[in-house]
Amino acid sequence: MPTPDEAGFTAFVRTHQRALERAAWLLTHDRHAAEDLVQTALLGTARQWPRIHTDAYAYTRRSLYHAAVSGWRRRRVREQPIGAHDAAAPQPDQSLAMTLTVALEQLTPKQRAVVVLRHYEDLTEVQTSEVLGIRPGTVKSVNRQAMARLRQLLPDLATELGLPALAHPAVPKESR
Amino acid sequence: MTLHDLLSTEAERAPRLDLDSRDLWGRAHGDLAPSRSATGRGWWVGAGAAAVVLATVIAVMTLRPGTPSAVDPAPLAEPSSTTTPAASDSPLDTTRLPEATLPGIAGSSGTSLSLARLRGPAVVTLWGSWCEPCRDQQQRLSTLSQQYGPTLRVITVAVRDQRSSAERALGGERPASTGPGTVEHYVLDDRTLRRTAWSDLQALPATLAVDAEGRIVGSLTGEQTLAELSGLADAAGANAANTATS
Repeated sequence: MPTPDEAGFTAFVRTHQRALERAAWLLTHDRHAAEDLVQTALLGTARQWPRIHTDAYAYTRRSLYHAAVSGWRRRRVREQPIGAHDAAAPQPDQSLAMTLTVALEQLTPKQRAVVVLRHYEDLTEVQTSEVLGIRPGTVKSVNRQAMARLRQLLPDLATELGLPALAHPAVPKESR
Repeated sequence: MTLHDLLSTEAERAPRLDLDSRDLWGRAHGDLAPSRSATGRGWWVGAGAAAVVLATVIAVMTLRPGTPSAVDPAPLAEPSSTTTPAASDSPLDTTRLPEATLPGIAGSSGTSLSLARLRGPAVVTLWGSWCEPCRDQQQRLSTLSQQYGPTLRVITVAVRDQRSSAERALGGERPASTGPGTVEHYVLDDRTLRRTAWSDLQALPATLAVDAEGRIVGSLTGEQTLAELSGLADAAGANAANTATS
């Protein structure tokens, strides 16, 4: 017999699962990694459930994005063989969304998190900074780096999307 | 079209995850001590989440190849115990084996293994021919398999390895050396490995105990003694049927 708390948590998961899946998918583009992220975030939420008095979804989302950005997950990226970085440019017959996803994979976890929060979840710089626990100024600069990287990776698409042109278009070769 | 439109299109392709809120709740409030992580905002939340995550990772990364045996910090089975499996808070405990079908090598050539469908009792060792402690462990696995006979499947999975190198390290075992008392050998290619949770695995060998329902009920990293391997076999639910040793 589930307790009221457990029933509340179950209802919460049912309501927000899809939103979390979408965000995790954009952040990882990997089924297993996405599942990891969502489970980790929800597990944290379940643990804190009796103590979360504000917005459980905001809490979970913060955990999810933090986990996506946190250092150890980058290992997954680093472990890709050199071949993956030398891979040919995405095939033109792929859908634009797919092409964009491939480019997103080239961003750092933090850049990706900022892009997803700013341009998918449509949060403001301040809201994004609250989710990630960084300063709004950092959000701004990380977003600028991310846009520059995308523009560099997808020059055609960038124009089509109207990605903002850079005041300083010279992008370091290995943009961090 | 905007960046938002494109991202939304892609987001709709997100796979549906098989989440079990009851299982999550159980893991959060079952035999685990409540997390003491801060409930505040900002990085503290991340630290809490990261700590959960870290426990997972540390559980599989404690040792590097070449380092002698040590115990998983969240031991799933009492390492030297040959009796009961210990309750554990490592996510490996409730995580199923990854979905991957592995081709057999060496003595198991011509067969294949679907990890997700594997039902124990089984002891599964991830290893590489380039890892000396892993090679040293093969003989003990063979002994383990003989000791437990038909009650236990002893399985090796070569990772980050070439099939040919792995087969060479297995010492020219002939195909069709199968059946109770023999070790089954498979290889997991890098491409598939990257899709699995095991891609974070940094220490080999890593040995898992899998119970009759296919759940991972124990894991140890690093080179293990025969007693420790037996502990895992027992945790998986196998009985030492034979007393024969090699």
